[in-house]
Amino acid sequence: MTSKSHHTHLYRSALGGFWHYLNPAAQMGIYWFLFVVVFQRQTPGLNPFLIIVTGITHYLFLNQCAIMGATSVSSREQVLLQIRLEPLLMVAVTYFELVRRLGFTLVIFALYASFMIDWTRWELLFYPLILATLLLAGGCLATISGILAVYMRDLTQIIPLVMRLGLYFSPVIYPITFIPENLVDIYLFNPIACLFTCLQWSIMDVPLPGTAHLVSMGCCILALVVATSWIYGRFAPNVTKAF
Amino acid sequence: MPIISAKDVGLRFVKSYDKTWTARSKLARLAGTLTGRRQPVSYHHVLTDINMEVKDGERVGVIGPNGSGKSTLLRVISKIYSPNSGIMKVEGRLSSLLSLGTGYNNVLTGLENIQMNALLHGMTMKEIERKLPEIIEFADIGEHINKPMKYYSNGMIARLSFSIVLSLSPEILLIDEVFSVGDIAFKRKSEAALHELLDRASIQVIVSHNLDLIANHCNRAIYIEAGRMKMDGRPDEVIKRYEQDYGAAEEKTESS
Repeated sequence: MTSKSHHTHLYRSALGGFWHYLNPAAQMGIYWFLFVVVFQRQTPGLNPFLIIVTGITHYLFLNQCAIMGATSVSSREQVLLQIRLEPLLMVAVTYFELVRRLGFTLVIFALYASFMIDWTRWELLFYPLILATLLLAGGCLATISGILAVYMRDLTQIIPLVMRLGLYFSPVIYPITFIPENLVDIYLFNPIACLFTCLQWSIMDVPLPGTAHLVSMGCCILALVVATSWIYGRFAPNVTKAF
Repeated sequence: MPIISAKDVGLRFVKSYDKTWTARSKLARLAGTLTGRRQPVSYHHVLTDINMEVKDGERVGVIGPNGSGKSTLLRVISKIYSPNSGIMKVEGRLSSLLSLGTGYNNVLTGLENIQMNALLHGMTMKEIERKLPEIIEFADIGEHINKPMKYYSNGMIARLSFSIVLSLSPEILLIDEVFSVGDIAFKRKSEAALHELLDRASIQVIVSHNLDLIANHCNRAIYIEAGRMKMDGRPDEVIKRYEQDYGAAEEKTESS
């Protein structure tokens, strides 16, 4: 189903699957132009383009999970009213399509990064763990937004705005060293900020967030999983009545 | 052994204007609370106190006027809607044919749509692969099977849907008015195949306005009116009662 859904989204587009690279690439180009060329923000010891590529590649996945997840159940109203299916299946179809896209972009990212990254870094061993956390968070966001958007239609409008704020308030396209030192402690209590700082730490020379921040992020992820399970259990059984 | 059991099942819907959480409705509700004139949420009761037990070998026909809750009852049995009160217990492999052509994607070919639709109906990929030639042969739409579905006529879509449905092997089968589709030749072919499908299922619940079909095919009938079970018994008796109620109403309308 994921494969067919993927095929449908790209049907008759001139560039087909290439759009999955073009869109992130265009965003990376824009941010690089703004931050590096126009504002000339310096990132001592760090490659500014690598920061942007790393951030956008991974953040786009979270962003798409929340945005596309929000329509994953409501757009399949007709099917759910005719055949008994778990709404989670509808979310899963969208989610795995996004995981597939992430896989494509990660291959390109790895090709590019292979020239920029020191592959002997031991911190790189933590990258799979960080990626797994990102995948888990993405799945939870897709499920929550998918179920709740059936009851609160405004969510489809609110989520892109929230995710855009998340992009700017987290070190996705800039390193944590851009943040004034007295604010870093508070800033890293934002779980997305902490996760992306960990991501940068695993790939390049960025300091690892403190234990308190890591514990806080772990608790937030756990809370997200619990919230997802509760929201699904509470709202999914009656989703067909809300159409 | 497959079984359907409903005890005091009730289903209600929040009326559409109270259904979603809009800012306007929330503000109106808040204002109502502050001024002590809060309107309670209004409900539409679709099914009330439904009690029935369908056992192995029973072919139940559900009849009633439009809007009486027949199709909704099938949706509750197939667990598309969870009841607000009472207990609905269903044991056995269930397939519901509530409409033909559900879940199709116009961009995909007929073949791809067969795979998608069969998956939605609970078939495994192995089962689909095994039954694919049979489905394609029965649909008999020739080379169109490899064309996107948007080039299909309504009749061709119905033929394809029906072929998928006929390849299912459920223990409990719920059917809602999806009996005759396609041209005359296909109708004849599909009627025979439908009877074969019906024979394969140990429990059948059929919603239809075709009283002859209910009388000839079913060994039990349920008459529903305004969401309540008005009568449950032998098809000839139930149909007679239904015709008395609604035949009289029709005659009254005609004479006025």
